[in-house]
Amino acid sequence: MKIQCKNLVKTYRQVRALNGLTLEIPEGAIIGLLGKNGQGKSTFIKLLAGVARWDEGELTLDGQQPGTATKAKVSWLPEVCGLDLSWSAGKVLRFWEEFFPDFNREKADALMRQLHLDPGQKLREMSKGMREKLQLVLVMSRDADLYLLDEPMSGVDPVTRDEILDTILTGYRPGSTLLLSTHLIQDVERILDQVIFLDKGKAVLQEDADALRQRTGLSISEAFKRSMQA
Amino acid sequence: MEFDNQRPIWLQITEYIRQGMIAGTWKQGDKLPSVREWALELKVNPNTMVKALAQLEREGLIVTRRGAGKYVAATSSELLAKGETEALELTERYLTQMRQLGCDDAQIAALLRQKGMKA
Repeated sequence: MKIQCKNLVKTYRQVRALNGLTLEIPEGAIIGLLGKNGQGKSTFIKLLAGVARWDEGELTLDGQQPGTATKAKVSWLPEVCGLDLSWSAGKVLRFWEEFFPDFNREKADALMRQLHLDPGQKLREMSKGMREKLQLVLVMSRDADLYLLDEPMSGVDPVTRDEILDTILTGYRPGSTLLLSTHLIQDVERILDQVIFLDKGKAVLQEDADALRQRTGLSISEAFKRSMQA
Repeated sequence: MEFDNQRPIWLQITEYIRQGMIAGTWKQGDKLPSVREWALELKVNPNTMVKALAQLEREGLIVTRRGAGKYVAATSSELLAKGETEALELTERYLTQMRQLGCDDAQIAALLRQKGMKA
């Protein structure tokens, strides 16, 4: 799914979360939306998911404004999961399967096994890392055109982080677009096609990840640090 | 495989596969893993893998057989010969440039030793 936005502005009370964001995101790539906390990453993702409305500018997904039609093709879960904690993982999967026509049950079962998650376990009994993993299974198990992952590895240990990265790669459907926001750049370096540096609600850089390495001789995280100092 | 994050990942993958061919891990006529299998094994994005394999194909090291996957096209001796030619050319270029800077052979040798060359 192709994303286009022009001079996008979103204000929360006094705060300009997005301050004239202009981007063209191609389809068929894994894209890192990189920025420190509070630079507009989550806001942009919410607009793409169709759960928040912008104030000024334009935003289209394959030419359409975010809405019911795009939501059917966009797989997303918010940072904070609002599910009933008394449910088991298996119940959540069944609920998702009924709710989303593009839910791929086989893929979900395979990812559950890969991540050593037990369908019988209740959400209440799960650690933070396990919940992050279940959340990822839910997002990646849909055969969507756009996947939105907002800080998928925040607050998990290095082993779980690697498992999450592997799951993203296993679950990624070639041809689809995957947008991954994070401030932990080093962890995701190797899986990105393209990077977008977000600062104060604007895109300060958008480039092919390997082209950036070649041009600067730096890692993405180092290039990011320098760009923020400049 | 450990990647150096400061260099293009696709380039490092081509080097890795080329070395595997020289070392004989993959021999002429061997079928290579699919893009998906490679990507999962090396833990990289499938698009990066496609880029790396396309480069190897341009260099004539691998061939795609329609519907059957990718195969090793070159023999390790061909690759070694190619590597030696490249190394020779690179060395000649380096020596020419150093002499243009006014360094004599003893100075060049001293600099190389300073950079950790043993011989």
